[in-house]
Amino acid sequence: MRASMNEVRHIAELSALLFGLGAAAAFAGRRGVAAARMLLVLATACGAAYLGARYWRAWPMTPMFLGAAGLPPVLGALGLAALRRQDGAQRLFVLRGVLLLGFAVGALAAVFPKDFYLPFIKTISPFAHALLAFGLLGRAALFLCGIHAAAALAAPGAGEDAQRRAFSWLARGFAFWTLSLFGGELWCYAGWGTPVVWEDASIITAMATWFFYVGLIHLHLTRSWSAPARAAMAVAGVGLILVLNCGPDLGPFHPPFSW
Amino acid sequence: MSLPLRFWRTLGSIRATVALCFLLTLDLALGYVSLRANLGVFVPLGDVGLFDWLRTYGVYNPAATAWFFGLLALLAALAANTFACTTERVLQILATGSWKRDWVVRFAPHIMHYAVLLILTGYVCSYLFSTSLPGRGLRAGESLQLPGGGVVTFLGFAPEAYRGERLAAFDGYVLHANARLRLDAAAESREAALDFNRPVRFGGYGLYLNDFGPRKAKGGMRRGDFIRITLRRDPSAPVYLAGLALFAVGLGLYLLGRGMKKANHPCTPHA
Amino acid sequence: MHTPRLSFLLPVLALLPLFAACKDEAKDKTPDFLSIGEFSVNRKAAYTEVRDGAGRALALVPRGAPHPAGFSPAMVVEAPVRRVVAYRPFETGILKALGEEESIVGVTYPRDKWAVDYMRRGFDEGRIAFVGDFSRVDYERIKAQHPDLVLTWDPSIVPMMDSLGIPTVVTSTPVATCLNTHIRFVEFIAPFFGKEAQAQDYYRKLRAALESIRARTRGMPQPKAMWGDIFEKRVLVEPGNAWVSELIGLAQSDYLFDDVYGTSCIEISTERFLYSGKDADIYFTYRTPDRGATSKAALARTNPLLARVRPLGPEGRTYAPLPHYAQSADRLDEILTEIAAILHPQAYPGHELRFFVELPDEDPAPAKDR
Repeated sequence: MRASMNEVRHIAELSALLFGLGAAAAFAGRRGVAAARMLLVLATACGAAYLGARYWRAWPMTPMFLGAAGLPPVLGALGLAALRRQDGAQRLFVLRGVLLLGFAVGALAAVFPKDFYLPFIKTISPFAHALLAFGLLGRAALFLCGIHAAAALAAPGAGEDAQRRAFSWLARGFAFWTLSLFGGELWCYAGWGTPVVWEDASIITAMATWFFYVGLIHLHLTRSWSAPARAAMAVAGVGLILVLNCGPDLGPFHPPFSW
Repeated sequence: MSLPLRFWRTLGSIRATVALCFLLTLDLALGYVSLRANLGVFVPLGDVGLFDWLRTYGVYNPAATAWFFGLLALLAALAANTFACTTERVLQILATGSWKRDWVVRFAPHIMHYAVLLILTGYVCSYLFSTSLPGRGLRAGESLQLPGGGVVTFLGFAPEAYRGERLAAFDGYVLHANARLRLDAAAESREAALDFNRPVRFGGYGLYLNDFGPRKAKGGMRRGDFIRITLRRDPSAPVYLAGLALFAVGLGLYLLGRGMKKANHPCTPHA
Repeated sequence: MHTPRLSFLLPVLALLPLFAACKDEAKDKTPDFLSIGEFSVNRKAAYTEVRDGAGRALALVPRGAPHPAGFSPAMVVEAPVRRVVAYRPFETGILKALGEEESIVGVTYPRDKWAVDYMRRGFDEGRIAFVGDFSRVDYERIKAQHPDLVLTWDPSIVPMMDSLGIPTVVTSTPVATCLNTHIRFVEFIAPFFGKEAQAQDYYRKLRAALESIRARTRGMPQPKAMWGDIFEKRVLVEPGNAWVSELIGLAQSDYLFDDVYGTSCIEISTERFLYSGKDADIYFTYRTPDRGATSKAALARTNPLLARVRPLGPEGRTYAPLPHYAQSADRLDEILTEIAAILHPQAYPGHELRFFVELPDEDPAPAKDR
């Protein structure tokens, strides 16, 4: 069976649409919230199918430029895991946050797809696959850090728990991001023998984000800034990832659901 | 407080750590833009060494490389800050004896800090002391003398080709070249397979495959088997690889320690 | 809230603009170091070190001077070079621009493939030899021409040239050369022949052409252009970082693969090619008329998918390069101007095409047999 890239892309467009519908439902009362959870599951499944299709086409090479298009299903999956441990207003906040961010990134990736490059054979390396996989996990976990930090800012009364959870996701996200960087580093060493391969400029933005979160972790651990200031920085981190790490993986404008 | 002590404390200030990290973020973001526009200026950095690169490409393309000079200065400052900060804390922990309880949580961040220093040291040494001989080509049957005395002979390929319709453009093209090399030195003689991401170590050098041909396993234009390799001698590689491993250990211990602490916390649902 | 004190970093930040200030001072004198894309020229006391497109360092020494240590015989070039084998017609054009066409002694195209007089004359005089098609180069023939230097885009010949002791410079790069590198490539070749002054004249001529294009096309409506082709299983295009793409952008036009990045003739998916093709006004094919690009209908017959791109219909324009287009680097200023004229005919009234041909809808009907 051979599906064209356009057909495969429609799965991602559908995923973004479901994230968007879920986000709308999450703001539409109690029944809407139940529907929103269902839509989140469906959107995540669709996104995972897209990710799987991209991998299936490229295997054993690593698919190219999945930093934005591959993020929504990973965010959805981690978001669902996060929701299981929460209740009340914070749970609703996180649900809305995951759906909104999933929609934002999914819609951007659907409208600006960058799926037209063929993979190259040097990406047949477990380290290249680790770079991508941990990178997606890192982005998603750091998005959840930002969502919880936004919850802490939005509800000062319940802020401490949200702040604690934000830091928990920060630690996981940082760990994943670090493993992604190390994957890239080991790939550089195995493939080129140098610590940095300057041909790929995305390593620079990955390091920029890593240093940002090193700074944020130190702020959290030492509490040298106030809690709202730290939370604001965690929210800003989402914007930073969108610009530095998702932006370069977006292509030119392409109307969704077109052939 | 004495002046050296004040200097030491200022050097290891956590505020400085945070400021340096955010400045590094800014500098690297600018660097991304510059690197995309001036790739040719930065690519030789891996081959010519840091000092030669700074003297030539660095100085003659100041608008493109200013961020890199900034990066070096900021990383040097961060290394000094990290060393002062973490050494101060480790000495405190050892002096008070508090490490006996929660040692995992207490020491894990410092393991990561020392690992960062190790990684940075390894990188700097790699760019200062490594030797790179790029673009060395061999045709089947030809040999190459290593500067240290060993001889590398390219025997031919044992290629593995892509089969399938998922990527029509790749059908029949070689995915694994598996270039067969004979390595002869005074002390040893052996054969090895060289491929992308699978370097061969010989005579103190790493042999890295840059390119090979023909790319198509059968048919197409055949211009004779050839490989293009880069020879690299990098005595500092074990240093930064050890740094990566140490950082991973520190990170693992930190997450483990946090998990243990959380599990024992009376307020957590799992308690 | 405590904010970090940044004062200790101010000296570092204050130093950064100083680096930017160095550039103009260096421009007035001949710099000891030149980086031209991935090529570089580094003048040292006893020799000049050049780095080619494959990252290989070679030493340029005056004829008869001792060879520097650390370079094998095939990595030392005695300058000025007198005999050259050149793979790409682009290099032969650059040599012509430097007044060094008499140095060319071998090429990988036979005489009948050359459309420029000085090359045909070289064959006729017996000075230039056809050394074999690039896929079947006759190394003995190259050796028999006694070249001082081989300029090649094909790194696979380097091992054989090394074993023959013939210095070789790789002129291709892993990433497509940008417009700046393309017009400054002459500065990389010039030191081999001691023709730096001629290189500067040529470069100034190209700069003037680019300035003129910028001025004449300013404010014009932006046509959408694409450059590439569909072959049997592969779709190849010029990426946004290639010189033609940058030229199209400079000439106030919208290059539809501007976002694509990588090597020249980069491979992309068929869907993307066709999607961009739907919007294009102007299409440049890689094929010359003698390779099937005689009309829009003929191109569509080579691959029916091509018929879906808009310029192959009545609403768009399609151009094919003529054989001497690739052989005329010495007239690069005219080529740059011609591409601008194709994009903006209204800015160049009366311009007659010399390097490209606009493809008609159909091939002219063959004359009826009498």
